[in-house]
Amino acid sequence: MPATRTLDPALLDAVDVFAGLDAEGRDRALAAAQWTKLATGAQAFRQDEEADAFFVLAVGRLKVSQLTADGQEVIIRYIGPKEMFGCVAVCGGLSYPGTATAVVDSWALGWSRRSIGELAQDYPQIALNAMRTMGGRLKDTHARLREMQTERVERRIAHAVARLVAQAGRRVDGGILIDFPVSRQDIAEMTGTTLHTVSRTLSAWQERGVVALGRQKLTVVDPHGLVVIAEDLPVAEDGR
Amino acid sequence: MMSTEAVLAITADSTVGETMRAFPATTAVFLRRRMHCPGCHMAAFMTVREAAGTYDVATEDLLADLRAAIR
Repeated sequence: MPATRTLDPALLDAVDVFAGLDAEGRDRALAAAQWTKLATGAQAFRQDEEADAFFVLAVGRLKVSQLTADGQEVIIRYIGPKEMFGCVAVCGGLSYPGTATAVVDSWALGWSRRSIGELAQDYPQIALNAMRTMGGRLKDTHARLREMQTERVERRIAHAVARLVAQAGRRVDGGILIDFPVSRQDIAEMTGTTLHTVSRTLSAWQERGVVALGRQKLTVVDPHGLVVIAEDLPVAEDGR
Repeated sequence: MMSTEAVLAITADSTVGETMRAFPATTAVFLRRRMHCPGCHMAAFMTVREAAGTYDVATEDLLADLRAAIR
């Protein structure tokens, strides 16, 4: 990758954080910007470091990741061209929530916390734009949180059904019948969830061919499929 | 319902559960093949043939491994 880069002013026009700035504001933002070259594997910043710079990616791709207490890396998001990263530096006094690492050779425009802070004083639009971006990411995070919570409930219900199979399963044509009247309310109470959630989950499983539902009757049609849900087993490419 | 008594020989129609109970050495075969049968609630209900089908393994290959493990 080349050692230097010339700045195309059009880049800033395409970046949300500078949206709505007049020509003078854009000129000031450009004058304060510095190019940062990030070769593959290079880190723009690390998790928990004081957030002292804010960036816009011009070219390339970055991953933002966090390390768990036992050292496992979890990727929070990927950053593509024209996206901001290190947004927390705009607010000041915060630390980076993750580590930003280039996954391909990349170029970013960087602003020190001081210079972006001064710009934001004169152009509050910058702070509002950064807030909008952070709000959007928070929304993504909430969606993922909701998915994970839902997944947890689904696994609990699958475990409960598997326990019922172990306790009272009877092999029948087309699957394993739980050989006593079991209501959705029973399963809701076993799993600490609501009747509504159990009904919705069981109906979804029925559509996927995992269970067959009758009145107070539950047949596990695809025992392995149920275990895949309960144990979060990897699913083979052919869907097995 | 499959027999819950110890089986004398492992066949394609033996349940996975009774196979592992009668011949604990066969547990290693399932583990080695990355099958999740050991400890699974469904093992008592699934035959060796069904387990092989689930994991896309030839029934005869799995049977051969299981039988070899108890020889």
